[in-house]
Order: sequence, then C-alpha cells, then structure tokens
Amino acid sequence: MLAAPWVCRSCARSLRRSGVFVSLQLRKASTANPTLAGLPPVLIDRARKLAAEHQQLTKQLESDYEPTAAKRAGEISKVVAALQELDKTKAALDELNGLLESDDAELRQLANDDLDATKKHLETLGMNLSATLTPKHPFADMPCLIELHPGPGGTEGRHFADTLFRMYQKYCENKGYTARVLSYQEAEDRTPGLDGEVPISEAVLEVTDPGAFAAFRGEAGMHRVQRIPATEKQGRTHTSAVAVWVLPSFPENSTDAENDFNNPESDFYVDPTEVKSEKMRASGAGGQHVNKTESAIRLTHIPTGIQVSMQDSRSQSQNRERAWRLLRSRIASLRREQREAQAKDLRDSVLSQAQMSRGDKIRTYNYQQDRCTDHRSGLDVHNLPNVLQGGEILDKVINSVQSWLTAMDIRNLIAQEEAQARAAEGGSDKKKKGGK
Amino acid sequence: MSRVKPQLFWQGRKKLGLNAAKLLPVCRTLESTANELRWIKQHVAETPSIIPFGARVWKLCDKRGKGLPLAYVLGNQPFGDLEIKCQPGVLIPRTETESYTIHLSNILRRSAVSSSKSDPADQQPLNIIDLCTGTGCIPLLLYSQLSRSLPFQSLNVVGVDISQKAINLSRQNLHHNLGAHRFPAPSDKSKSHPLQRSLHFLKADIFSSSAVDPILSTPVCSEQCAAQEAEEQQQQQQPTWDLLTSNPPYISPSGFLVSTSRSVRNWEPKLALVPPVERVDLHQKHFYHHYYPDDENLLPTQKGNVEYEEEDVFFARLLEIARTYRPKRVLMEVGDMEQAKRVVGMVLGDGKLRKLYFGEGTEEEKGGTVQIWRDDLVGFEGYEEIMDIGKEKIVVKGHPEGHGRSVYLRRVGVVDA
Repeated sequence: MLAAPWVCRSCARSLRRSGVFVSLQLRKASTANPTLAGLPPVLIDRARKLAAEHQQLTKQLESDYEPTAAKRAGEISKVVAALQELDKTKAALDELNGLLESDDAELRQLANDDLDATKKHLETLGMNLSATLTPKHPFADMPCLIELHPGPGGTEGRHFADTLFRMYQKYCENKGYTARVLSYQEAEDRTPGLDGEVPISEAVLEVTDPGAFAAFRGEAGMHRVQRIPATEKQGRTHTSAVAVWVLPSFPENSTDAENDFNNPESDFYVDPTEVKSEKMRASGAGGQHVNKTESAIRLTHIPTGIQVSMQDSRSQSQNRERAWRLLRSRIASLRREQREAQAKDLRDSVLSQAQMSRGDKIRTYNYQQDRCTDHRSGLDVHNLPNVLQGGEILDKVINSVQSWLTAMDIRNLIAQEEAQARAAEGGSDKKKKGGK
Repeated sequence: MSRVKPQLFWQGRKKLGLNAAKLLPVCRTLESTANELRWIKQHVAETPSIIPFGARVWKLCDKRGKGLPLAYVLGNQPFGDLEIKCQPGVLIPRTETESYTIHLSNILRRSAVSSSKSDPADQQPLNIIDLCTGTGCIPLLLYSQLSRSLPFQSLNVVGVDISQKAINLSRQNLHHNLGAHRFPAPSDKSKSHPLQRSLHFLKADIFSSSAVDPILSTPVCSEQCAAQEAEEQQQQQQPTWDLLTSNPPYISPSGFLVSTSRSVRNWEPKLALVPPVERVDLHQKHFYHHYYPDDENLLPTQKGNVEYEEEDVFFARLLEIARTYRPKRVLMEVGDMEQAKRVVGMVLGDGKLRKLYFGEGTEEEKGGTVQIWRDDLVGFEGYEEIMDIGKEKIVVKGHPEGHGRSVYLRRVGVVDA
C-alpha cells in the first residue's frame, strides 16, 4: 500500500529502513478525537458541589422565598437529578460486582448478564450529566447567517463556494428550515464550472428558524475541496478552500431584552455614531435632480474596522436593512469571540488546539475518492453527491460535529474548573505562607 | 461628464457579454452595469412571454442604453416593501423620499402607541394627505406601514395630483400592491369594522381653491369650516389632518438645465420637476397678499428677511394650506439646504405659521418644532446639529454628509414619542 503508484525496490528498501515510510503512511484524518469513557473526577466534584448548593438553597427557600435563589435552584436541579440517577446506578453496579464474588453459580451468571447493560447505562448517564453541566451557548436559540467566502486561488474556489451555497440551501430544504438568500454576488469572470456552477465572490444565506445557530455553528471554518476543476486541461487535481462563517442573526420579532439591538448591553448593539455609511453620493443635489439606480450601501464600523456592503436589491432601504443586519451579526459574533478568548486564558494551554477559529481547515470534500472527511469528529463518509445535495449523509456529518462540539465544550469546562481550582489552591497556599 | 474609457467597453463585453456594451454609456462603471444587467435579467425571467429570453434582454438593454430610466424600462421601482409601477409621464419615486417616508411612519406609529399606552380609551383617527402624489408612493407606503394592527380608531389616507396620468397610475399601484397582498384592503364604508381604513387618490389642482378646498376640509366638519371666526375655537376639538406631506416640483428653470441628470431631463415629466412659469407669476401676487396684506407694492427682494425664489412657489402654497387647515405635522421635500432654509424662513416670517408651528416665548415654552431633515435619516437618528436661520436656532437631523432633503413642521401641543 504505497502512496506512489510504483517505487523501485532499492528505494522502497531504504525508505523502510529509515522509517520515513511509516510516517508517510500515517494519514491524520482528525486533529482531535476526544473520548468520554469515564467521568473525570473534576466533573463529579463540580456536580457534588452543585448538589450541596441545591440542598442548601432548598432549605433556604423553605424558610423564605427569594426569586433569585429559586431561579438558581431551578437551573441546577437538572444536574442534581442526573447526579442522583448516576449514584443509584453506581450503587447497583457495586452490588452486581459483589454478587460476582458469591458462591452461587446461578447468581454469578445472572449478575454477569446484567453487568454489561448496567455499565452501558452508566456511560450514557455520565454523558447526560456532563451535558447538563455544559453551559449553553448564549446564541444557541437564535437564527443564523451563513456566509461563504471563497479562499484565495482563483475561479476554482469560487465555483466550489457556489456548490456549498446550494448544498446548504438544499440541506435547509430537506430539514425544513426556512432559508433566505440575503446576498449572492457573482464574480466578474463567469466561466461555468462543474454541473453549472457559477463563480461567486460572496454569498449570505439566512436561516430564520430559532435554534438555527446551534444547528449550524459547527459548519464555521475552512472547507477544503480536492478535485479536477472544469477549467483544468491536464487532469491535475487542485486543492482550494472556501471559508464559511456562521453568525448569529437577530430575530426579526423578538421581545428578548438581552438580545434586543436597541439595548446597549446587548452584543447586537451598534452605536450608529460609530458607523460610517458610504454610498454612491451623486454629485449635485440628489432628490428630483437625479434618478440614480445605484443602490449599494457600504457600512463601516469604525472601532473594529468591520466593513459590510450590500448591492443585491434595487431598493436602497432593503440593502440598508440587510447591511445593518449583517453588521450587527458580525459585531456580535466578534464580541462573543473576544469574550471566549478571555475565558480561554484561564484554561489549560493543551486545549488551545481545540479552539476553533475561522482559519482552521475543518472538512475536506474529495471528488476523486468520492469522500467527505470532517477533521474534527474524524468522520469519513462516502457518497459525495448525496452530501452535496444536502442529503442524509451530510446530516450524519453535521451530527457528528455536533457531538464533537458538545464533547469539546465539556472538556473546556473541565479544564476551566481545574484551572480555577488550581488558582484557588495557589491562592490559599500563598495565604498560608503569608500567615506563617 | 468624463468620457467612458474604451477599454471598459471591451472589458465589459468580455466579462458580461454584448449587452454590457449597450448599458455602459449610461451606467458608466462596470459594477453598476453588472447590477443593472442582473436586474434586467431577473425582470425578464420573472415575467413570462413567448418572446425568447435573450431577445427581450437585448431589447430592454437597448432601451436603457438610450438613456430611458431603469424604472421606466422595467415598469416598476421598489419603494419600502412595496413595488411601485412607473410609466413615462409620472415621476419615479426616489430613494430619499423612501427614506424620510419610513422615518415619518415610524414617528406616527411610535407616538400613536405611546398615546394609547397612557390612555387606552383615547384612540385617535389618523388622517393623512399627500399633495402632488405622482405614483402615489408616499400615501401607499404610509398606508402599508400604518394599516397593520395599530391603535388607531381609523386610518384615512388621501393622495392628490393635478395629472390624470398620475392619478390613474396611483390607483393602478393600489390595486397592484393589493393583489400582491402587501397590505390589507381598505375597509368597506357600509360595513361596520373595528378599524376603518380608506385610501383614495383624487385629481385636483392645489392652486385652485375651489378644487382643493372640499378635499382638504373633509376631516374637518364642513359647516364649522365655513365660519372663519368660529374656526379658531372649534378646531381645537375638531378632527384635523394629522399629517400633510408633499413632494412638489422644486427645481428652478435654470437648475433644470444645469443640475439635473440627463435621463431626468430627457425622460421624466417637467410638470413634476419645475413649477410652471405662469403659476409663478400668478402666485406671486397671491403669496404676498397672504404674507404682507398691507404692503402689496413691495417687490420680492425688498420683503425684509423672507427670501423667496421662483422655484419655491409650491412651498408658499403649501404653507398657505397649512395656515388654513392647521395639520398637526407637515413634511415637504426640498431640493437642497438653501431651499430648506428659505422654506423655514417663510414659516418663521409669517406670524400665524410661526405661532402654530414654532411657538413663542422662551425655549422651554415653545411646544412646536421646525426641523430640517437630511438624507440618510434611517439608522442615523442620533445625529443632530443646530443651524442659525434668521434669529432662530433650527435643528437639522440626519447624517452630516447628506443633503438637506425635507422640512418638518409639528404643531404646538402635538407630541412625538
């Protein structure tokens, strides 16, 4: 099984001897593949702490009612229930283990039968507990914007951006999401690609269902394509990439005060005085004097330098509204990222590779091998046409990413707890030293 | 206007096809050509016909290339969330108009909501009149924005224009947008309905009192209106127009030759752009009779601090209407900041209008508002600037880079939320 089609014997021998061969053979499909077999002690500790807090809160609530305490108790009651269930199952497992050592052969047989099922149950319960302990993403309930930007490298990436755009459109259709095209900009040169692809320079798809952000947030990152482009005359395989951004979008009719864009506390709040609006200002007076068709709107957020331009619609007010929406989403997601980066400083440095940024390659679509690989969950699927049609195989890939993200969130949480515990310990040590 | 570089033509032809060469002389940049070509193709794809696609696109590009405005080529123009049909002979709705209309509807909605919050029983009827309505874009958009679920007792919108073509087109626009279900239909007068809604377009010359008075006096009870002396007290209780809007012709004859773009000059109706000369002559006497009844022989340039140019004749007439019918809010589109200042000067120079819309006494006692709005108001409500006009300080709203676009008057005692 050599990567090259033919290697002469002496070369092959030298390769084998030097050990290069072995390393060549290793293809790393995934950069991280966390497993959650047993629960780490930190998580259990945290759950116990929460349970103790819950007990205290209920005792306090019995004597006098306080809304904030009641809210907190409601929040952590899920964790406590999961923990209790886990404890029960653990006790049952211990009992079974005890039975295994008994003299009765029949009993031993029975215990053996039960043991596997109980172990499995314990594992799912562990997952359950960690899932209840992981914090929910603050934008999880929101609609989202999916932005596609072809990477550098000419027409091929632009062609594939179109394919990805259609893939997400069809996926939304299949899953029953309502998707709306916010912007679809064709590139200037229009050589047709494979299957009638049109080169695009940028496209934005809005998925208006609440919770769409949670469903699509795993899609953000670089999507790599390996195939022979339509423009390639000599049959060489090219590799290009398309950047996909997933931004939370502000729901149109919302009463949620936390995410109201008029509320200065909200992530979506943008101070209009910080935004510069450039549009085609026709020379002369405007109004009745001219009837320009130029409807492009370009907004620049001065503090962050984020620039948004919209020119799809003939109506300037529609372009303006869309541009503001996009700008708000980008700023909100930037603020969120900044806050996450701050939280990251607390965490273990080992986990830094798990932090997903826009630059990381997350998925490969290989046409020659009819394969789609997700580099985070490590899932390798075939039947690429189905993936590109937004079929059930794509659903499988997206689900695998979802579970990977959950696992990642839990690991991050644990790391954070550990870091905090260490910091607290260090602090108390210092105090002790100071006391002496 | 600089020449379009020849290399743009072959670049356009290479990137966008032969049609681009047709559009380039009008669009002037490749970007704008690509956009217009896309919109033309979209339009052709959306309207079925037996003529082949390519031939229709070619024909429309040919028309556009000769300078015909895109809205006339495609037959429509988006305005807010509406689609307004356009025909040669009627002015095309402008984006500036769209911008302040949306802002205005927001003001009306907010103040209605806040007044109904403070007193749920106190639901007022809302009466809006638009003079020189053209395609009917302003009344249609206001109607569409305000007719959905609002705390009004009734909504009554009227559009007036002198041109039969414009009235026909505005009625077509009403039916076109109703057919597309963009807003709820006006309610039938005979049936009792919780929310009475009406939207009418009427033909009248606003300079002829006999034609326009019956229309203007509708929300006010007619018998009270007849008695001029009784008017002052009784109008306090009588329903009045809540909003008077107008986008009248405001370009001077010389400005029409110099500052308008070619497609406006060659294809759009002059009637909607330049006040007719005979109108100016006729009205000058009229105007000074109202403003300076005791001093008729004075020439316009000698009239103290009230400046007056011939293109402002419609504003003089509109202000005269405002004097008589005292609408709660008035919004007039103007050509530039200079004209806006002149219009504000006219308001301040007239004792009655000043009392009605500017108020008297110290800063705190003045209840009225005289404002100038710039382009780019939506999204930039925070921008404000004070300008000295005469002896008074006038608030100018909107992004500082925008042109002066409209003059907004609010009567003393009326509150905007």
